[in-house]
Amino acid sequence: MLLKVNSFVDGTKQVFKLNGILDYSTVDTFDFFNKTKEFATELEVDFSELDFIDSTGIGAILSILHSASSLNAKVSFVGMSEDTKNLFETIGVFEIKKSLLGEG
Amino acid sequence: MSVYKREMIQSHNLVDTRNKTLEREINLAKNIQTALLNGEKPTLENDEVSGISIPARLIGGDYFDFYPLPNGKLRIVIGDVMGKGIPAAMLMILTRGAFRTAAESTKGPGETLTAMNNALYADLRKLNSFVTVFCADWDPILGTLSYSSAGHSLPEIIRGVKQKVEIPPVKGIMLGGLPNQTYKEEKATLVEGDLVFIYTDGIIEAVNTDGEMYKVNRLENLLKSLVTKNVQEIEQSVIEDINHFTEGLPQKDDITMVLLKIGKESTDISSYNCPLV
Repeated sequence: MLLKVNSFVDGTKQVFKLNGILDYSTVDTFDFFNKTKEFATELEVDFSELDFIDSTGIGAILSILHSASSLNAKVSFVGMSEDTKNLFETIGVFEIKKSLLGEG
Repeated sequence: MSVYKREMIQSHNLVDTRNKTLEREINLAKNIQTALLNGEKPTLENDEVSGISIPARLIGGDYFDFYPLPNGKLRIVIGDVMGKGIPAAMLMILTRGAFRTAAESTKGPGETLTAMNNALYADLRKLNSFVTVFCADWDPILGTLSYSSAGHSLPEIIRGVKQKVEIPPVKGIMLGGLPNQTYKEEKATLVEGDLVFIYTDGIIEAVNTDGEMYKVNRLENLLKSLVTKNVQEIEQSVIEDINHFTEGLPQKDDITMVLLKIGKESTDISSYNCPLV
């Protein structure tokens, strides 16, 4: 299965809607870091149609967080499955998000 | 022979030579990694220990190691570098160096992870990569396992009576995630017959022909059924069960496991392959 990323802008919010598998074999389909709009004040990553994410895919999500940090933008994760939440919790993605984006 | 044809043959020969050189170098790299990963396993007086790593490609990014400490404890580490193949293998070697250096000069698994993150953070950040690591100290005198995690899942611990042991959870950010991290430690008391199974996600994320994953529940049930065997038999049975489950599909991710079995006396007598006389 492939990865499809529907990236669109809603005002100053940029949405990345992920569909399929975000892993080693698909991650180069989309350049998350360089596709971030400079005017964006909020980035939303929609996981609701994502079937699987591996460590390489998490690396791509981290690049969105670093991109947002350099733009002073907020990031929200929506539509996460319990498996993805647990994986992010274990690896420390939420902690990195808090630290990079100054979230309380 | 025309000049054009001769140039074509020369060009083909050049590509062929380069491919052979590349293939030879990759095989040498594989040999180096295999030798470093599957070196001599420590021999414990009363317990059994083993480990194996099977890369998805020629070389991989998983890592495990044992470091006998002067105080009689055994430091165990398992790691999973983001990505696969040659890039991951290069970072795996870097991780090994960081562990070996840190293990020598740190008091516990938490301090080891802190030292490893301090050593690796700048490089991993520059390369947009990270490593998840689980580190534990086995104290055979006190029967305790102290452990710490940098973004890695907790091991499965199965009691000799085929029950899962719930151990205190511990969390920490993966190596390369954030600088200056302190990693907390937790402790579990183990008894004769307990099996500690530390692993990377290549096991539970192995996929079958229906697209289903192996999952942790299947692993747990398998380990319960194997807990009375010795570590080599358990290791082999887990590999066989994954192969059976995936029905010969190509391995997608590196698979690594480390096993610690408490006490040698508790191993099922049938597992020694003694003739029944």
